[in-house]
Amino acid sequence: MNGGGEASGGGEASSHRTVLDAIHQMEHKVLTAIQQLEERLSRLESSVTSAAVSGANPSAALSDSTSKPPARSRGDLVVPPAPRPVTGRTAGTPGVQDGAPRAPSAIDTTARLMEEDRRRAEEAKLREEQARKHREMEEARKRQEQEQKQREEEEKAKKRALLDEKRKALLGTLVQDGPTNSKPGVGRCAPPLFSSSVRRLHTTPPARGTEVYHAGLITTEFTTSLNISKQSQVIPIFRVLNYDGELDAGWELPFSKEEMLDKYKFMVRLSVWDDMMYNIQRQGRISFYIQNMGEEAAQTGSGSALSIDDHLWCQYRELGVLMWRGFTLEDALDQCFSTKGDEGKGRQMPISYTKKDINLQTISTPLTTQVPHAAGSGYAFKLAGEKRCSVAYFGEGAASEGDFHAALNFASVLKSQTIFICRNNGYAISTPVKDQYAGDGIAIRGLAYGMQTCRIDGNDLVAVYIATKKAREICVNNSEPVLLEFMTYRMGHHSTSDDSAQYRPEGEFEAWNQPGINPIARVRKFLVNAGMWDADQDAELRREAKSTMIAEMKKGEKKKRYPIIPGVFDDVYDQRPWNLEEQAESMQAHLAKYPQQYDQTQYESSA
Amino acid sequence: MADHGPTEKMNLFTAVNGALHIAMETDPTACVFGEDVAFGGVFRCSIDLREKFGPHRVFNTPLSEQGIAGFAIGMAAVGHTAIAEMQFADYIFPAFDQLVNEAAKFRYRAGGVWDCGGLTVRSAWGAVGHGGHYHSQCPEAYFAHTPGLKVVVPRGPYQAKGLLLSCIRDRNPCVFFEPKALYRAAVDQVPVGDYNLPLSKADVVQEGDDITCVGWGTQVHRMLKAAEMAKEEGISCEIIDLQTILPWDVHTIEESVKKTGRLLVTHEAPLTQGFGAEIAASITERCFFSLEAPIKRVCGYDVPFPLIYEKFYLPDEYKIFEGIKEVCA
Repeated sequence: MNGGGEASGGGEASSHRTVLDAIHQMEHKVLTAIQQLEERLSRLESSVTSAAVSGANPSAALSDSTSKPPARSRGDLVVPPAPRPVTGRTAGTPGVQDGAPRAPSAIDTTARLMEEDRRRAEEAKLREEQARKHREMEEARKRQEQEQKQREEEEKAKKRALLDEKRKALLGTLVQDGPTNSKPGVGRCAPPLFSSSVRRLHTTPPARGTEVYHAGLITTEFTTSLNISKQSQVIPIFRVLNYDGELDAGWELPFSKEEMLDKYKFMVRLSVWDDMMYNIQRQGRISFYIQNMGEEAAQTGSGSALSIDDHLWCQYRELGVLMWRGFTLEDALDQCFSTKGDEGKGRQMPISYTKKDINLQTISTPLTTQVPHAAGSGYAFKLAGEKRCSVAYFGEGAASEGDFHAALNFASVLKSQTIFICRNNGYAISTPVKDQYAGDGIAIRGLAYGMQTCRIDGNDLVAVYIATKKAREICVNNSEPVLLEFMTYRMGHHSTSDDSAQYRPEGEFEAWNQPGINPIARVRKFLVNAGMWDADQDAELRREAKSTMIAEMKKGEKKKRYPIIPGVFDDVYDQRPWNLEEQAESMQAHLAKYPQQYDQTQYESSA
Repeated sequence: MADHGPTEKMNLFTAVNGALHIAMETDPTACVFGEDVAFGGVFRCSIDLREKFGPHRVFNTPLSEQGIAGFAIGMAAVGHTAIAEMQFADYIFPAFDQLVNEAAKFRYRAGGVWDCGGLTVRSAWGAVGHGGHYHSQCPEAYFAHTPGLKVVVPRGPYQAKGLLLSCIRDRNPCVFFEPKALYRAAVDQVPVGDYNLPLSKADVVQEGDDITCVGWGTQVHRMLKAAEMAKEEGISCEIIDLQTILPWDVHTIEESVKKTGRLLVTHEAPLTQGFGAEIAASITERCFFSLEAPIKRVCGYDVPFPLIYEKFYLPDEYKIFEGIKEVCA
């Protein structure tokens, strides 16, 4: 089901509809109704909360837009599949009807009804009585509480007045009141929740006589109401190119239409090549591959908003980011074929790209280990006064690793010039987001670490570009980190060692592949609307991309590998220590003795 | 001891501190950071650095060893000199992945185009008298199993300063373990100025004819005491401080064993899979026909480090003395 690239439109064939379909539809309706109810509830709750937090603006710090896409609960990350049309016979509603009832006689019925009426009346009386008692008790308790509170307040005020008097007496008129909190019982006004720039921890001790606060808090506020809660503000998804390929009101393209077309062509080539790389792995010509399908907008949009001076610390599913800055198809094939053209000398599995002159740090497969490197290198750029940043890419699964938390906390505390980009694509191999975390996505963690944060529709090329550009500006100009969360969908398998059909719910892929949602098709809609693109041009572009790939593959497969002897033993250290010299000699002697047992034809000779 | 100019009486922590001052003065990209580093460090090794070099180059980090290691690797990867402190070697394990999978393989996996050679991780190491499980361990053998890292342990203030400066300037990631029992106890005349001591070079501390004794860090002092006792029994010991555990100096030991015909290796860490096993195996291969007795290892027992039993656990001078006699019998 994942072989097909994005859909070009059209509905599904409606044959083979059975009872099961109808049940699916019912289920879907019920779930939708529940979700709608939950959403309404959560909107109500959050509006109550936001009203409580001094009317804080819930829009993300990076977004100047006033139009907010509708809030979705996390379960909605997956766009629910369109309800299937029901054909054929209508399904029953299992579980609603009771087992075969006995036909009751008239006398039986009257007596039972009277008995029931009596019982109900008694119960109602009892309930009313209980409710009244409860009300009385509650009122009494509240009265007591209020009296107690008043007494406490009075006492506090008295103590405060006494202290003030003593203080003034002791220090005379030289001592000023503390800068804030001089009014008893009034907490500091909470700053807007989504603008971390104004959220700073206290760094100076409180002045004597003022309300004591904890140095580890941004806002110290006391309350007498016990509130244990997991409620947080909705973090909206920044989106400007809607599902019809139209820019939302108030937004213009941040680049020319021609550049939009360039980006589109880039995305199409990327997806064609990606698919072909996947296929050459299936044919056994490379040992492993990681697909990028479905994340082309997230990659292209963010990659094109960065500077080539910025250092990339990628996970592995970011081929578009690399290619945008000059990692060529030849480079990619050299690495995947392990030719001597791979700067990594063929030592790592396919997709572990590295390239010095485009500032691509080596991709390594342990997850998240690169994220603290981005924090450290971003700090180094700040120290050196350089106008560049480090950019860490990772998935939502990787964000469960300790390295993620360490990296964000370090970067935030030490103010690194680092952009953290989470590709929240729904899956970590087979593990869906619901088995990965219970919180509100990854963005909420950025806020928890006091970091500038924004959540973006990762399938919206334009929104991704705008947000990344802005994030880079903040990061480099203010010397502080930014977290971006791209909401997207991994349309391919995790890797070529994985079969997502085993765990992907039916219909999910199709839902994400709809023309308005699929990232490539959304941009195509824009271009078609603008009269800049048509189906013929599209087909031609794909043909051209395929033939480029075929030519590059032929070239790549002919290339030899890096020589064996320095290949195995060099670069462990800057210079070979004695043990590696001895081992290299020993291996050379062994190979000379058993040349037939070790095929060396693929390797360049170590002249 | 080569001449490195005027000297001053220093203990091990002041020698480390002196090395850090020099590293920071001579390299504007150098930074010193870790838990509680800003106020001078719990062992006072980073004292006065913040005042002199500012809060951007000398700073506290959040409490996360993996974070410290990862952050330091990132700094080193873009050409800075990162001198990171792990407060205790016992707490280095959260950083194990970063050091083993990242730092150690950084150059190799990049085919040499990227490296994190400017990385040095310092950590307080070894028994201290009352440290129990988690303030006593010697984890050098874990790291010695990792191609790409350098692992160094000094035995005193002079070595600490010279070897630390070498680690900081070496173009490979180094793990530098500081015997915390010696921070105040060991005192040397240490050059005030800048000097480096060579890495991967063992030091023959005392020459002898009958047996070669190899150790590092605190064990060197125990070996010297044992050698004194052995001398009274008429046994002449050659004492070698290995100094660098990885890549280690096999040749100095080989040469010595070919002369004495006997070898004893000692370390505080547990016996099984300790670095002593590697030395014993390599020397057996190289010196089999010169050996007059089986190689003896005098090490910690294969138990977690036990608080009130420390005195019994440690491979002290008496156990080493007994080992020497056994080999020379």
